[in-house]
Order: sequence, then structure tokens, then C-alpha cells
Amino acid sequence: MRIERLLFGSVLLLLVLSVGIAWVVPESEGVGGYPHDEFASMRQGGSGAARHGGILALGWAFGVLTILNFVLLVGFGGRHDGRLGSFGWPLAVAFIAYAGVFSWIIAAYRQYLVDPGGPLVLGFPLPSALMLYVLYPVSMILNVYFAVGFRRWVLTEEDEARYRELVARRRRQQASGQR
Amino acid sequence: MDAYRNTILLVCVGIYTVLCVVVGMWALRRTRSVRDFFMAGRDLGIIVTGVAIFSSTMSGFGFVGGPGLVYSMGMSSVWIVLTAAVGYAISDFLVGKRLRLFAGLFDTVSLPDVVAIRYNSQTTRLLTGVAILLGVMGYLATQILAMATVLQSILQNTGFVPGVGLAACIAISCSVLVFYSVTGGIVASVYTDLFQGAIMIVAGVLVFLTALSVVEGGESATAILLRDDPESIGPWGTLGMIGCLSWYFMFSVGCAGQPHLITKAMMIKRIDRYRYIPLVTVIGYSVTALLWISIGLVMRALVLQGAHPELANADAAAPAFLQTYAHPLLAGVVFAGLLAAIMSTADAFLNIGAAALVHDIPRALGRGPRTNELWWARAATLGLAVAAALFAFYSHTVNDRLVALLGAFGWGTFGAALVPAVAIGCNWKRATPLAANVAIVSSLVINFSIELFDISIPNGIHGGTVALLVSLSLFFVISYASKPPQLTPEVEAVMDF
Repeated sequence: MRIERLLFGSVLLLLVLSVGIAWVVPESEGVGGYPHDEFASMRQGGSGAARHGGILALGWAFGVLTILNFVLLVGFGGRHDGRLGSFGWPLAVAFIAYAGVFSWIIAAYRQYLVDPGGPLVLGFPLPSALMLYVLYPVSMILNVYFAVGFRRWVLTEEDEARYRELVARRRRQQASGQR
Repeated sequence: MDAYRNTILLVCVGIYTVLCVVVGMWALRRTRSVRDFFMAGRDLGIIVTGVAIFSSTMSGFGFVGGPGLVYSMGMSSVWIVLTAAVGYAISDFLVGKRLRLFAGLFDTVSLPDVVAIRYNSQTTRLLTGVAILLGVMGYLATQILAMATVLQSILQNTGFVPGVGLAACIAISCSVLVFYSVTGGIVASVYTDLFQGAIMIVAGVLVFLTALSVVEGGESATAILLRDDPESIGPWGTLGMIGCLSWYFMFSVGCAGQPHLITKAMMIKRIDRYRYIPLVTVIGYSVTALLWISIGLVMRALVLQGAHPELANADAAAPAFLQTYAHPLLAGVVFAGLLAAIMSTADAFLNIGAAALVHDIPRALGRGPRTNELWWARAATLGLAVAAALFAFYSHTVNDRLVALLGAFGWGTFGAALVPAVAIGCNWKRATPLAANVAIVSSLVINFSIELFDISIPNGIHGGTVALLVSLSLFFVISYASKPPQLTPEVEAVMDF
């Protein structure tokens, strides 16, 4: 069994496991929020420490595994002849940056639970600002890889030439079959 | 100008409707074969394909439900918006290239066509077609209902037709949708998507700029939310951490299984142009999503501040913002944009549903191609639209649970059914037809059961996440447990690229 398949299978298993744990651990009070005190059309979160204090590590693990799964799926689609080749390192960099920012959000949120009154960053509390202004752009690395590395990691010029030959051969076969 | 607000609104919607009809008539001349009807002659460029993908992603849910979720739950639903970039990336790497290669070599006109070739199995083709058809009915019914509700509110507010009923609005809005979808097929669909996407981008930017200036007293909307409830403006909103992350997982990975999006990869003219598609889709979606986030946050802040009366329900956030705070011209553009968002998703579903009905399911059942398949495709499009409209009306008046039940066959079900069978299966030679069949059936059963029996999963975990993890696991385990499949040399060659 190849290493990437083993990795993919392990990550899938760990994701199932983390969702399973989240399913069976007793829910903290108010984990899904409460109706708002004044406005029936809204919900409110209440105490972040009460609802998230016990599952922060589980959430972090689920998030990092999710990100690893994303990167592995991209790698799965980016293989050539069953090999990742030179795409391995860029994917590793993407994973480290992506998971690093996610971990930073968790760390900032831990601080936010203690002191939500910190300064706003571009209009948002630090963990939310990180999520909007850093996590989202970082996730775009994968889109940039697709555009910039198309000829290296997605479809090389040789691939395209081989493909054209394959199509031409099939058309010739179809034409001769029809005659 | 405020005195003419309702008239301006009606004119904007009228112009938009006329444009849809014009595109339909233009596309009629470009649609001469089934390949044109379902695949746009495999002749699309970068911008048209990219915009068609993002505008089909952003449905009425994004324009009405999205702001409503932010109003009601704070930042939770922003995680759905954040899935756009990574979701499109997974989709492009996993299925985009592969589907285009299959389509170019085997001249396929639908997703089940590719599945049948990949697995050499008519059962897998049938199950894929049935899953698509069930999802299409659910999606279409909800989109038609949303379209008619928007039209009814516009016509009633303008006083133009004050007593207009929902049935009449369903008939009017469906006529426009059916006209261009029947005449021009996917050609009309993608070119209407082009200007629908443009309207949505303009609406997104202008609404965002308006929202920035609405909150009174020099305090930002987010500061008001922070003062009221820090958790609502924290990264997880009121839904909670695990719930948000389960959305993030399901919407990102599930993107690679949405038939109305991934099918468009098969329509691009030159495969080397595909490289720029992700950038167009991500930029388009990100700008449009500004509306989703900004309206929700601002309306929540205004209600908390006492500057706006409480909304009757969360979905009223976007209409209330537009009626009260937006310039009449902007409100007109956004209402047209809302109809555009709904129609651009609905027309994509009509097209893939018609393909399943006249092309895939009959072939899977052993019937050869019909003599006049283009005529049948048009008839199926019309039939599907009428059936979905009747279903939407019946559900609205008699049993509102029906749409919700079929609505469960939405993003999560498509993701759980088609990510293993199509996205993984087209990249992994060891995948077997039995594994694909089990993955599709399990996803339908799990999602339907969760909705039917109203199963609530602890910690806010989305049912679609559970279904996706189960179907992926079954797919891998069954593939490894079964005999390796025999692939044709051509299929193997495509999977090697």
C-alpha cells in the first residue's frame, strides 16, 4: 500500500473517530446557543468558556484533520501516473500555512474566552479577523497552485499532446468502425 | 427618488426578465443537437464557464438565507462562505480536469455518462441518475418557491397587482425560466448566468458599501454585536465550534460532488484554459458573498441598537435592509440579482435533471438513444419545471414538509453520493462499481433518514458530514474488499494523466 493511500485512509479514520467522539461526549450546556434574551428572531452564544472549554482540543484536532484531508484530496487529484512528484512540497507548505493559521485562530479564541474586550482588528475581534482576513486568503493558495502550476502539476504539455493523440486514435477507430 | 422606489424596482426586474428572454431566443439558434443542449457544444470560454460556476453556486439561499443566518446566528454561517476557495480547489484538482478529459475522449453529455464509462456499469449510471433527479426535484422546488415569493412581494409592494397570488407568481416566474431553458438549453443557461453573475457582483459590492454607512452613532456593527454577546461575533457564532467545522468540512469536500457545478467543467472548449477557471469562480463568489455577511451583521446590529424594529423572521433580513436602507436603484439591482441568483441555480438543475430523464436513466435501463433526443430534452425540461412548480405549490399549500424532505437531497446528499463515486472514483483505479453503488445508496438513505426522523446530532454536527464520512469509508473499504476492476485501456489512460 502506498504511503499517500495509507495517509489518506488514516486521516479518514481519524476524522470518523473525532466526529464519533463529538457525537458521544456529553454536550456542554448551551453548546448550540440559546434564544436571545430580548429578540425571538435571534440566538445568542452565552458563555464561550462554558460551551467550548471542554471541547477546544477536540475542535482543534477536527479542524487540523479537516485541513489535512483537503490538502490530501488536492494531492490525490494532482498525481501523475499515480505519483505526486514535485507537487509534494508545495502541498506540504500549504498544509503548514493553513493548519498554522487555524491553530492561531484557536489560540486567539482561547484568549478571547478570557478577555473578549480586546481591540478590534479591521472591525472584528482577533480570532474572527484571522478567520476572515488570513484563513480565507491562505486557503486560496490551492487555487493559485492550480492556475500557476497547471503545466507542472495538473496537465503538462506532454500530457496534453498524449491526450490529443488518444482522442485522434479513438476518432479514427470510430470512423473506420462506421465505414 | 424614494417616491418612485417601487416603480424603479419593478422596472429593474422587468429589464432583467426581458434580458433572460432575449438570451433564450439567441441561444435557440445555437442549439442544434443534444450535445449543444446539454454541453453547450463543448465550446465555452474562461469567463463564461467561471461565472456560470460561481453564479450557480450562489443560489437564492446565499442572497436570502445567508444574511438571515448571519442575523440569527452571528458568524457561524460565515464558515460556509469560507469554503468557497478550498471547495473550488478540491473540485478543480479532483474532478475538473478528469471530467473534461473523459468528456473530450468519450463525447459524454452528462455526469452519469462519465460514471457509466468509468465503472463500466449501467447500475452505477442508473443510481447516479436517480440521485441527481431526486436532488433536482428538491432543489428546483425550493428555488421556484423562493422565486415566486420574491416576485409576489415585489408585485404586491408596488401596488401594480396588489392581490396577486402565489400560484400566479409561480406561473409567471416559471414561464421565464422555462422559456430560456427550453429554447436554449445549457447555452441559454450559461449565458444568462454570465449577466446574472455580473448583476450579483455589482449587487454584492454596492450592498457592502451601503451597509458600512448604515449603523448610526459612530459605532461599528461588530462592536454592537460584541457588546451584546461576544460569542455571536466570535469565530463560531452561536452554532458552536464543532458545528461550524462540520459545515466547513461538508461544504468544502461536498463541492466536488455538486453535479450542477462540476458538469460545467466538461463544457470548456480548450482544456488548457481550465487553469484560470478557479480564479474567476473564487473572485466572483467572494465579492458576491459580501452581501451575505454585511446585510446579516448590519441588520442584527440595527435591531440590537433599537434603530430597526425586530424582524418577523431571520429570512426577512435582506428584504428589510433593501426596502429600508438601500437606494431605490440599488434595491432594484439587488432584487434583480436575487432573481438572478435563484434562476441561475434553477436553470442548471433543470438541465442536468432533463439529461438524467431522457439520456441517462433510459440508457441505464437498456433503451438506446431516442430518434429525436433534442426534442425529448426540451420536453423533459418543460415537464420537470412544471412538475417542480406543482410540487412547490402543493408543498406550500398542503404539506410544507415535502420540500424540506426533498431539500435534504441537497448539497450534503450530492456531496456524500458523488464525491466518492465521481471525484475519488475518477482518480483511483482500485475503486469498484459495487463500492460506488453502496456509497450512493448509503448517502441517500442516511440523509433522508436524518430529515425524515428529525435526528439531531450532538454538538451541532451537520448530518451531511456524517453521511459523507460514512459513504467515503464504505467506498474505500468495499473497494479494497472487492476484486480489482478491469478498466479499458482508454479509461486507464485518462486516469493516468
